[in-house]
Amino acid sequence: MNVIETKDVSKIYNADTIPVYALDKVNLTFSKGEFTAIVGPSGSGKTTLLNIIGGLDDASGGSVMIDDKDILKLKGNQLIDFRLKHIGFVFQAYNLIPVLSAKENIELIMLLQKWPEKERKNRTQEMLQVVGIANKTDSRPSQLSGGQQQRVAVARALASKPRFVLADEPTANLDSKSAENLLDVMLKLNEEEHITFIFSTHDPRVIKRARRVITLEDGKVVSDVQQNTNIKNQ
Amino acid sequence: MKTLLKIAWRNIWRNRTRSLVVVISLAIGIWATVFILAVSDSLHIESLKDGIEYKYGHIQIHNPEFIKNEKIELTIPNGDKLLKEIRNDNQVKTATGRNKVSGIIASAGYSSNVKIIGVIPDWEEETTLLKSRLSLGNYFSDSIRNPLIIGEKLAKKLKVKLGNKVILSFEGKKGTLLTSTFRITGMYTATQVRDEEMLIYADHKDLTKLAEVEGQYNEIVIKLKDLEQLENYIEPLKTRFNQPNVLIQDWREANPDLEMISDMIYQMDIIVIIIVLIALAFGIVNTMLMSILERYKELGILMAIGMNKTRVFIMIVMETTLLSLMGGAIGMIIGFITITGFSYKGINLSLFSEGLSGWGFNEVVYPTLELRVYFLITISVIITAVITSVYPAVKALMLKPNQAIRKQN
Repeated sequence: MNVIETKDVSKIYNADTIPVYALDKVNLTFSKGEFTAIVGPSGSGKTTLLNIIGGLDDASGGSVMIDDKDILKLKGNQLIDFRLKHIGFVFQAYNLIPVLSAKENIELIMLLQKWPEKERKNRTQEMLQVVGIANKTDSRPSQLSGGQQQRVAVARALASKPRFVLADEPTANLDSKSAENLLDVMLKLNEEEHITFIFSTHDPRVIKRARRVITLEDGKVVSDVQQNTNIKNQ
Repeated sequence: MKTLLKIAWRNIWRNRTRSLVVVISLAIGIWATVFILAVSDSLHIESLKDGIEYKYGHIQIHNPEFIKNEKIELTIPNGDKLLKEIRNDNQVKTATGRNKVSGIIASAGYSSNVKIIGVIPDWEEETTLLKSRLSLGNYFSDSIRNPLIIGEKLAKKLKVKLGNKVILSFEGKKGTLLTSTFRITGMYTATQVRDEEMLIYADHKDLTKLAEVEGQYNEIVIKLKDLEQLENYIEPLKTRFNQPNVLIQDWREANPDLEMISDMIYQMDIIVIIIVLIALAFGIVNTMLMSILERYKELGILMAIGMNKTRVFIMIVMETTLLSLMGGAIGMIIGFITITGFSYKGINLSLFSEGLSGWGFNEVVYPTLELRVYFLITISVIITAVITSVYPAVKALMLKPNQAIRKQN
């Protein structure tokens, strides 16, 4: 079952002068429960593709179908509400809300989605346990290490059980141990909750553990391979 | 909403120094506004009270021709009968009749222009408390011929003392010049220097005898038991004495200068409030724009993860309103404490006494401010805060999440 389908998605900068193709007619489909890495050199269009799939950026052409709905046609609050309901984001720079504690950051999306208080609290506790920072619930982001902040970011993205999670180089700022731990957490959630994960990454540790690897170069898909990985033991 | 409020509140205190500077400036601005309004309103109320209590009463009756041309022979037709009838009215506390004429007072070496007011001693005392304002000497006495009460400042100008004789000259009937000697039996002080130098009081009987208008009045002054009943009383009164040469006016109509001062004070109050609110608005806009610029990336993240534009807008309006309310509330509390303190002790404005008395104001002012004015200022501050928050909020809504997220702080 396809969750996302991109059809001829293009992103062109300087269309009127010297056009630069950030994405050039990208056609991809993503199924439920995938754990996919999008790789490629800097400037190949990885982040642009993720931003367009997540409705954070406009495309110059094509469509992004999610549940038979072209999200490129959604505007303003419609698009924001769509992101709220269906997409979880994990950013390279964590991007937590600095005035909220770890627990409050995780709760935020559920609050915006108006979850009942009891369910929200339970889910927050559950996520804190899963990502392994249950002892840091009341710490503000500035009091957490990079790895801990990224765990909170993952917990925030996953807490509301989105259809899919888009992660833009989630391990770029983490040391090896933190990166491995985070990958373990994400794979566990992927397996247990069947949430689709799509990463953009340069990190061989992530690539190694992804089940599908899509390679982009100059805005074009140059390879799309399935990997048979034994995740835990690698 | 609770979450938005929590985020808004914490955002305010991210930059403690800046927020405190804004709150303190707002507090000082609001305190100054409240205090200035209290002083100006109190000056105004005192001046009105002074005018009504000591000079004009609540209602005045004249011959309309007298208003155009203040001649002593232009009296109210059947004034004596009318006055007696009015004094018997239930709603009337007291009423008196007066004769008024412009003239010259002269001592042995000096002279001055004055307005001579002929009063019925007992009734005038009931109506305008003239007797209670005497600072020297005695009130009118039958045992002294042609008694006269003048202001202390006029006495100083004429270099006369109690018991001295002065000559009053004024225009009588048909342009005749009347002159007579009067003896100063009392002196009074007034809040207005101009009154103390200009208004002199003689016995109505002496003045009307001299002018040959005995038993007639140029002016009837009425004081009601309850000023609130003014409208209810004056309209039937106008119908009752609907005659061509009888003009009945309330204190506002009869004294347009008082109304003018009222309007001017009111306009000045509005101007002060507007100036403070404009300054406040610029301060808020500046602070909020800085705050939003600093949080550009964070606002982008909020919008990326699903906080819609309405919520972002509300959050920024909340931040602005909370900031303004804190400043407003502190300013209002300090203002209330200061005003209450000075309302007992009074503020001595003798440095500006000449200017103040020219407008009929007291030297010492006891500031008070009605609760509704505090309420009005609070509402104005909130409205200003909400209005001024719109621009920074709209600026925030215009950001594109992907660009904002890429921004390096």
